[in-house]
Amino acid sequence: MSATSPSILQALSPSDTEDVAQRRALLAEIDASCRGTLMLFFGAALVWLLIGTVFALIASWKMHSPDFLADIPWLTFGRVRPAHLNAVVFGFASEAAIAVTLWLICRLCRAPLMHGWVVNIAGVFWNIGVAIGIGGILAGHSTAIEWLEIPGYATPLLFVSYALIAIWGIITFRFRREKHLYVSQWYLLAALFWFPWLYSAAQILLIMEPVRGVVQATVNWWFAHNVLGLWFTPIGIGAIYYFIPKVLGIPVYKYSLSVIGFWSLALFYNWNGMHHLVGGPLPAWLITVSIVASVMMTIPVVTVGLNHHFTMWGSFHKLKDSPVLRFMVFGGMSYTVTSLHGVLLALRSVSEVTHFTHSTIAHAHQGMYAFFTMVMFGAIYYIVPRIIQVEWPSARLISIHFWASAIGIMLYIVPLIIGGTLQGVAMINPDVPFLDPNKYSVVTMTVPYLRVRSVSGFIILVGHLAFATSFIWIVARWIKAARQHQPTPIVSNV
Amino acid sequence: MNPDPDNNTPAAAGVVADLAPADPREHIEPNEAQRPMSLWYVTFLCLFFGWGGYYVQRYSADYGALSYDENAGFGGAKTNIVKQVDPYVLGKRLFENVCAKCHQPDGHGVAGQYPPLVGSEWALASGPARMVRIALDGLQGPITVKGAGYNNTMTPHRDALNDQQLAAILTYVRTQKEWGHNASAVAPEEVAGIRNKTKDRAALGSWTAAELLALPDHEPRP
Amino acid sequence: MNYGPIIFLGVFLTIASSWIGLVLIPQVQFGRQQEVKIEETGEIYPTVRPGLAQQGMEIYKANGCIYCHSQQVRPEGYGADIARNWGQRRTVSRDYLHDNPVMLGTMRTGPDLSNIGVRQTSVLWHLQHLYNPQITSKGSIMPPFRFLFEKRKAGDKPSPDALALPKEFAPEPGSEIVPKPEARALVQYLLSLKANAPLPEAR
Repeated sequence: MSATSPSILQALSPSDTEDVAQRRALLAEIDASCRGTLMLFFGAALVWLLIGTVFALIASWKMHSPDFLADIPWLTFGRVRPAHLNAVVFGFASEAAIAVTLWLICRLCRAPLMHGWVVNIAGVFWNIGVAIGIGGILAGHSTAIEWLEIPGYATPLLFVSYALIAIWGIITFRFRREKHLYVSQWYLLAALFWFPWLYSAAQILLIMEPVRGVVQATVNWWFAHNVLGLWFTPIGIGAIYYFIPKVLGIPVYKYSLSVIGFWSLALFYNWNGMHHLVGGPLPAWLITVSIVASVMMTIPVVTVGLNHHFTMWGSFHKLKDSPVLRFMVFGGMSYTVTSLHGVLLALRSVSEVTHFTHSTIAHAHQGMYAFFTMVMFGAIYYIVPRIIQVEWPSARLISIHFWASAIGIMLYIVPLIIGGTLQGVAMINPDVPFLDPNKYSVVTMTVPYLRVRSVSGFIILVGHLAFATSFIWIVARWIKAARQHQPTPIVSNV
Repeated sequence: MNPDPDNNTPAAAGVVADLAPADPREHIEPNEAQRPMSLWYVTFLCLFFGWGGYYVQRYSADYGALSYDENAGFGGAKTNIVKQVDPYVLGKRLFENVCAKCHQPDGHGVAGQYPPLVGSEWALASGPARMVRIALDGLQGPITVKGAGYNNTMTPHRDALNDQQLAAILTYVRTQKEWGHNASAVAPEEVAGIRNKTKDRAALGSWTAAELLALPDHEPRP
Repeated sequence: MNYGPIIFLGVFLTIASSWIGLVLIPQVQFGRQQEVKIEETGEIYPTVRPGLAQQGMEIYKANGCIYCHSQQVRPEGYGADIARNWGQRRTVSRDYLHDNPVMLGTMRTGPDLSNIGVRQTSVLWHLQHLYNPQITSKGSIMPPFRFLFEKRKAGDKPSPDALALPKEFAPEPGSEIVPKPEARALVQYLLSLKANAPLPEAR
């Protein structure tokens, strides 16, 4: 691995200008300030990832073998499934997102994280909240509102912890030392601001003082779609905007595309939710507005896609060497594909077929996993060695993780989109029986696809175990190094 | 292989851990390049905005709270075209979704629980008068079908299915070729007649086998 | 875009717009709908669920039935909901006035349940189906809810509460399966699901 561009050599030469040397010292100070907080969040995220994966496998297995673990009330399908969703969304993904956001904000603002212990306490309470919430779901206290299943007694804890974290992010921003606001910061600040609004509005209007009738459904899907659109997506895009040019050492392709991509996402994404209710008991205008907003999402998706693509242009060979880049580019491409697929799914004529089928489930995983989770993995691989000053112990484990996750999720998405679409085609044809054990029927035709999904789940689990092994290993090295008061140098074996 | 191949150059010498530069191999923080917008891109934006405006106006009916049909209000309200469907096809479709829940898709029922329709003397009676009554208001209590006793409840469908649908289902059951059935078809008018005649039945509860056996196969003409 | 407040203002305005458009306006436009008197029958619709059915809804919620069953009928000519007899008409907002939470659902691994209380009124069928879906619906992938039932020692003759089961699903001789109150409540909830009143706006 010797392909070094002139810029790298310049940046590395011992004759660093004083300015560059000072900047590096500042980055080191920032990384050190984030250390404990980020490791807490990443560690907890990893635990939730594993728990969520196990729940996912149980739920998936039950879908084709309904007698599996059927006599344990708290493991019935309708409880394990929301337990999986909340573990990965509020446990894994949100915690990884918070950690990555804090680090990126600190770095891009050139400001160390002040009083990190406040965020640590918020993190501890967040985890307690998620644990109580998932325990409540398994105990049968679910609210039965999609994406908001966590019972009302756990959500205040989540909200207060989150508010504290968001305020901390914004305070850090307030004390920034860098005038220029890089594109990633727009997305991250927006996400920090949007999520508490969404979460509190949904909690109040659905659980504390529920609105009446189908307005509940509009609030529900306004919230649920925006968790993806205004919380995970901006953080995912913000991270890609940082890491691709960072790893490559070149600027982002075009500033104007960054600006348009951001504002069009802000403008359109939050209007998308009602496309989950096409054909439902809601006035035509409400659904039409969301369909239009969904189609308009083509603008930010294509814009951001072009900006990322042209930044990568000419550097694709570097994917071979850099695992971080590999995760990021996989995530970025999945974002484009999944969003354009989502535009299609929102159309009335397509929705007639695919609504109420497994193809929606596949689509959700394409967004949450193939895009967002892969980006978070890439970010974690980049950040952890820098904050704890220890190298990842095994390149092979990282490689196993990438390929298991990438192949696993593709094996999940592609068959399930096909199977779900066929399921929809059968469902809208009244001459295909809904259930008949001896004929092609809506229920029985899905079973082979559901089995493939379980297989893909095992492959993904292998990836996650590889990741967990890496993480535990690097933490062990870190602790060992800390005990000896002799931090391992960053580059151990060149 | 280098464990962290993101960075592929030797470390700067003399890195002190506590005050280490973040990572000596790391590039400086990213930035954006300034380039002009392309005309193609601006055209692409304009097209989308134009289409969006048109679509909202076209498919929002009159923006009313109770306007569910997106085509209404634009002179294009969908008229309710009732498609003429072959009663046998309609009957099969409804049988699979309504009756098969108990009588099973193959019409053989569940032994001891739900009586069979295949070869059933009730289904194949020379006239449909009893069948129509059972389908309309249900059946309760002991009944003998093909020599076997059953004691269960049959769901009434008076409110769930209209005359045309009930006639189609009964026609399907009585003429199912694969089951070897070859009884007479049932006309919607027959169902309508019995529905009207028994309109107070719902209040009295479902039929019993004994009551039905006291009735003739064929509905007497009024 | 180096000016923080501008970003915050824009971010605030965009989310406020959708909050107004998708939450506030719907609430104003149809959040306070009222019951109506049905011309044909003179009955008030919709009515509040009786207590036992309300308890059954809690069982429906707790066990996540919503993840496989929707409660909405799409209009004639859009999908096959009506052709499959899941309803005689589409559902409209008024049908859900007394539902809390409103469980429209987004998935149909199993059939729609908007009108299950019209389509299948047999309590026994529902209990058998919950105890083991294979009894009534061979090939179903719905999980059995045996934990809503208990196995008891049978007396000399079966107790009136005992669930009638086909031989292959029956417990060993000397014991019987009795539905717990949860199972009975859940069935009452299912039987209360009816969206068939002839509302003018649903034609």
